[in-house]
Amino acid sequence: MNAIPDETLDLLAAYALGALEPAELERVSVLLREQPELAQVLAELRAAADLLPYALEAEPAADLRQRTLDHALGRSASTPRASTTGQIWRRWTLALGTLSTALAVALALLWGQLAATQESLAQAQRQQSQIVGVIAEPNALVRLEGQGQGAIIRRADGTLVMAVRLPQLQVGQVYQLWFIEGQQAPRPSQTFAVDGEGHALITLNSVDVTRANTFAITAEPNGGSQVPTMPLVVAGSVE
Amino acid sequence: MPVDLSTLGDHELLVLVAQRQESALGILYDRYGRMAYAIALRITGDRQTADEVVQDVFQNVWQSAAGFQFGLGSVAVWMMGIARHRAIDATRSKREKRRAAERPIAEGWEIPDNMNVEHEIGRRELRDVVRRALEELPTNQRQTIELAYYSGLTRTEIASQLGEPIGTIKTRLRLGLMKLRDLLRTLEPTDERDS
Repeated sequence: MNAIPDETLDLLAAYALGALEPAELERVSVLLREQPELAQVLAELRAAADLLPYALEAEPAADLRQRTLDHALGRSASTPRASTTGQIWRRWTLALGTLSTALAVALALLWGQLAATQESLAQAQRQQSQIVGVIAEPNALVRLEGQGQGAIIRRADGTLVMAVRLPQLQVGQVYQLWFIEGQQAPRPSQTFAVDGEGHALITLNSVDVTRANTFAITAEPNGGSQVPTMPLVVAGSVE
Repeated sequence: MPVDLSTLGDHELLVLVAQRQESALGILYDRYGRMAYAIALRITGDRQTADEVVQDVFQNVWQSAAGFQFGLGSVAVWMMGIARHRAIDATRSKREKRRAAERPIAEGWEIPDNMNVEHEIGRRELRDVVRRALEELPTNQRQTIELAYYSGLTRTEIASQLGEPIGTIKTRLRLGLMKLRDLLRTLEPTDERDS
């Protein structure tokens, strides 16, 4: 390979670190199309940049694990389902005092499976109802329209929630939400997938949303993008 | 005998997450929650915001696991990318441009019961190597790289913030990252047990 000009390496290094202006990104795309051998150089630079987080160390709060899992799974309280099951099991055990221990255990296992299945179904139904409700909410802050539908609402507790019904993604894609303030470039936000019905219910960080007046969703390559690389799927502005 | 999830690779865990196995998400948190928190705290400089970023990262993993394209990168890099983007996004939104206050390393901190000690030892070794490499960079190159990576600033913004010519910033980023590449060439991050 011929020596790579410094200007090209400048661009690749800045790209790997996410330090390019949006207008400069196209130059990198053109370079990579015209000189495919640069992809290897870029991959090496990105690999070095990807190691930077490993130099950091910080200790999260001890309860962050539970809070994170509760948040991820959409549980508002951290009370594990197992404890509820346990309480009910104790009541069942008392009521079934005359049964043999083996029979009681068998019943408990069966009850546990049924309860878990019922809870899963009920949870799915609740979520489905919530999504439909949010999309149909007449006082939504934002309505998203395009190749699907969506809406952003503020709940009574102040949290902002976005519900969408979108086309199924292709393999290797995720949906990504973008915040746009006036004429400024879109700011990347969270990525998400949709369920089999094309539905997703996302809790938004109200701090992120504050300054944005337009919201858009694109289907981006896995992991998301720093700038939109794909056409809009849905978009809408604050009403 | 039930499978010990902590022995599985990241890709296998992600498949289980996509199948809605909560415990698999917990194992991924045990492996990467601390690093996600560290990068979020480094970028935002605020513990509460860092907590929120970590929660968003794992919510994103829970919701997007099915869409992860295996073979195009490691789960660890994917997750840290989400953490970085979310943290930069949150920081910009809150206009918290102050330098982050990374908590000093607490030597001898207690290892939680659910932590994979083997993984933690490997990560600490990796941390030390990356730190040494960063220390070998001239201060101004390291500073410029940190402003780009952790503060999410563009070259123009870095030049403005440091009061330096844009050409100087371009050169520092190029020389600094290429030196890091040379120093860390053999240490590309791979997923736990997937390599």
